[in-house]
Amino acid sequence: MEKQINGSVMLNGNGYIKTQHQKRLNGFKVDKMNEGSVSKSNSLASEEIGQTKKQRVFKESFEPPTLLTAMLTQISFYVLMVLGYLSQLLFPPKVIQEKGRQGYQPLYDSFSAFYSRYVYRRVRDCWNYPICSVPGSEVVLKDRITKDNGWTFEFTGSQTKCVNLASYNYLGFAESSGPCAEAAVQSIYDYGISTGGTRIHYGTCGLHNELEELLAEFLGVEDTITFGMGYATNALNIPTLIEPGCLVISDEKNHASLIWGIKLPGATVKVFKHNDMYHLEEILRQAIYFGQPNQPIGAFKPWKKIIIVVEGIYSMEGTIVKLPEVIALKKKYKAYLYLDEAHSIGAMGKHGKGVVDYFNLDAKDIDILMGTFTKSFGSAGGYIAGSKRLISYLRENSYASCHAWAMPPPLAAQIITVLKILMGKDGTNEGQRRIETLARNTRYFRMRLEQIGLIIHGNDDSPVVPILVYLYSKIAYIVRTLIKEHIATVGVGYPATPLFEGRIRICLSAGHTKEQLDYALAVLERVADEIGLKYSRKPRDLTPINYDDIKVYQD
Amino acid sequence: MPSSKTPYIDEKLFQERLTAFNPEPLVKYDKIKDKQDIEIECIKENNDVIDLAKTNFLNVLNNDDIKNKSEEIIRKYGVGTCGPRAFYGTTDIHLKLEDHIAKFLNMDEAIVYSYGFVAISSSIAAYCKKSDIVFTHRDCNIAIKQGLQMAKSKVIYFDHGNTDSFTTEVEKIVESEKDKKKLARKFLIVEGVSWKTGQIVCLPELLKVAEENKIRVFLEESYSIGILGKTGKGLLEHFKIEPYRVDLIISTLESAIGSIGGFCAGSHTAIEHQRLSGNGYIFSASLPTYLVQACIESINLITEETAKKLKVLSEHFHSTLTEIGYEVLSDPLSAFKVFTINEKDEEKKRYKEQKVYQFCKNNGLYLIYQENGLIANLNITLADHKEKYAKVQNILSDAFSQ
Repeated sequence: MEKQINGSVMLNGNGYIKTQHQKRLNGFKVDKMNEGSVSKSNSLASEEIGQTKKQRVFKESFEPPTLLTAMLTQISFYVLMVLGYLSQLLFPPKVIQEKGRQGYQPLYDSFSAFYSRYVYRRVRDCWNYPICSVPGSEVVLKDRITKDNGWTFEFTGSQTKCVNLASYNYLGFAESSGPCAEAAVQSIYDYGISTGGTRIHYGTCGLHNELEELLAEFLGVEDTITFGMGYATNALNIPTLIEPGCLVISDEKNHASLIWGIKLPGATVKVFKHNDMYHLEEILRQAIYFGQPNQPIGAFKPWKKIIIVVEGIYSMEGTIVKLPEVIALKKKYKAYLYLDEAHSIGAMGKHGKGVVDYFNLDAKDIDILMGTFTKSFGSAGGYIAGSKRLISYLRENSYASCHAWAMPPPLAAQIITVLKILMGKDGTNEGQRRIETLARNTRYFRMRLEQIGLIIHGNDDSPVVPILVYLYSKIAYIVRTLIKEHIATVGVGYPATPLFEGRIRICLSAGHTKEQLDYALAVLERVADEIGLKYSRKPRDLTPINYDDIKVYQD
Repeated sequence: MPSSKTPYIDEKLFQERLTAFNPEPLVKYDKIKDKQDIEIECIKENNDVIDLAKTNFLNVLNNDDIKNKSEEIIRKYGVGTCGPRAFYGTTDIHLKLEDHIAKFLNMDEAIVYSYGFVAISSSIAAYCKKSDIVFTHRDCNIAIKQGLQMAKSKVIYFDHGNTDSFTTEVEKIVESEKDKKKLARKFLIVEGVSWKTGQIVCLPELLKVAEENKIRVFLEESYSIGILGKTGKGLLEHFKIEPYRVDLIISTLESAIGSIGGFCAGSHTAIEHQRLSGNGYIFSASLPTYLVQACIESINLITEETAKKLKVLSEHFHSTLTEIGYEVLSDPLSAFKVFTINEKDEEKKRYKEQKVYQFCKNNGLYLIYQENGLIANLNITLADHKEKYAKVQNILSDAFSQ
């Protein structure tokens, strides 16, 4: 059992069709490219992992760039910086100087100002592109041009319809018509656009209660509580759960909102290497053995409690948390587990219940189960699920329920409708269809990208697909070219990623048709040839892939 | 991967300590309460019920035009935006609102966040750093506190209603920095209308001290925008202060604007920084488009007429409360009234407040009961409906004399 989860045995547990060649491919990936990540087994409590009903092959890819690429990336970045400094010397910023602030210290450090004005500005047009439609499988961009190298933008008045490979619309519920939109509209007239209060003071409405009950049933937990914003769910709730004397062990790639939440209350924070169970266990062992630091000599004081904080899908990496192993470690070392399912809820698992569902685990093994409604649900807001005790405590003490406004009713109505569809309560199998389409699209798109020879990161089943392009200027070039070709994608560079790991990120959706994906793939292949993106040195399997033959979530 | 740095762990002792490790419970919370005992559900308004619990100063939450516009937007843009602002989460409506706010407040630029609390804490943490000194008032709201906690700046407290205490604290710092070559950067963060007491800060005096000592000023205007000033533009208009004299206006869009979200307005230089450094701006999904449109609509509703009406109503309500015998903590101009019963014994006071709250509730007048007293959020319709106002007056009066 343990061997399987560690990826060294290729088993067809999740029902994907695998040719002999693909097996070899996967083996290559795991053994050669992913050293120390999945192929290593350690002293985890294997019997506990063995309890999971079904095992998954865990295939994640982190093909490193060649030395030459890494060097070129570095050089190109320094060139950009030097050019930036030169241009700062020659051309003063076209920003109106602050009025009445002579002699004041600057509002922020000069590097931030320099970076934003002379490095970021040159590629500014690749981000914040305004849209004027629903962010569905297609999105309408409002065209803009800049006449002064990115200082200002003007609308041209025209619009461009693009295939949307950027929005977190995993299940395709970002819709301006249909049952979800109808429910949201109805709730405006029933409850108003907002309830105008906090949850504990007249801000709660019937929809909140309905939503929380339905969600608890969906997730298989005792109780849930919802909040008006996903980011705030992390940022405002975690501080009420930890205090000085607690140890928080956090994955290095955790989202900014989690980091904000765990930094605040003055607890000790230790960071483990991304998804590295070995490192996590090492930190846990040391935490148990050494206890709290700075004790008198000879004294030993254990931690008050230890909380492990991980995410389901990491949105910049496309990786999936090794949840069975984390749970085994958490049980062995008596720690608590905080799982952020922001990207995975709805998008992963046979029933769309997130990574917990994906690994066939019991949601009750996770002490604090958090997620957001911004992504798969096409709404906004967040939730925390767990025991009745935890939720009751948060209801009464969380900053987010006492000091921040309740979730507006239309958002709740949208989520309720989505949940009903996912649970089949609407009497159709639409929910199941969407979940399966997303999984199929994901498999198809990722396999095709590998065939093209691009380096993609992350798990084979993750709908978040980062394509590594390394160079800063290539990010900009691709984003611009793809928009010209009517494809909307997201480029991510420093500071959101490590300096030398610029990437294009694609988020797949159940709303995408095969035709849309094929179109995008064809364009991507052309661009990859044009500017040299085929960095991958892995053996390629060029057997044509039949979209309809891709089997997903079969027992 | 155990490296050479891995400290030695004695396996036997480790096992002992693991067995002995008895972590504290996840939450220290003995009695699990029912949802109904913690949360209070919102009230369906009708002729028998007057809801002064919800924040609805300009009655935008009952405005049919805004509801219709919101419907239109949902039918065009859907509900959520499925992405942060940078990643196709910016609609043309978002840009319009930022423009609208900047023009409304006569500032260069504005930036909209998707939650009021986060707008305040993130924007503060974007500027204030560890080596900075921040002056703020003791009873500032929890969002300011969280922002400062994140910034790790040195925080110096003064009293909200007392300019002298600010002057004294500033003088102390100036004195201590006398011999230093490099002075710490200083900020003043102050609520225009205190969330806790409803008192209005004496901004001109604070600004004078701040300008003398080159302290940057962040003004929190959640409860003054749409309420104070000749045309409802907030505290700066109220005191006739030029906008450039404050560095940043921070506010939620959740009080008078009646939507969800928050914003900062200031100079281009100031706002530009937040677009790459405002943690809650970059790393969160953007505000749902219909709520953005609702903000635009309700800003359009703020006029000289509404500001005047609300002013008259606030002052009138203030005197009504005092005449009945309540002790009113908030400013006569504040649109939410914090009031209590004059009683020395704290326990008795709480008991009486609770009784007033309950009496009003039984008679169809809903207030908020909090640790610092009773709160009434005025609604502009009270100014038009004399009989409604009389009803409120009667209930409050009966509640007091019961």
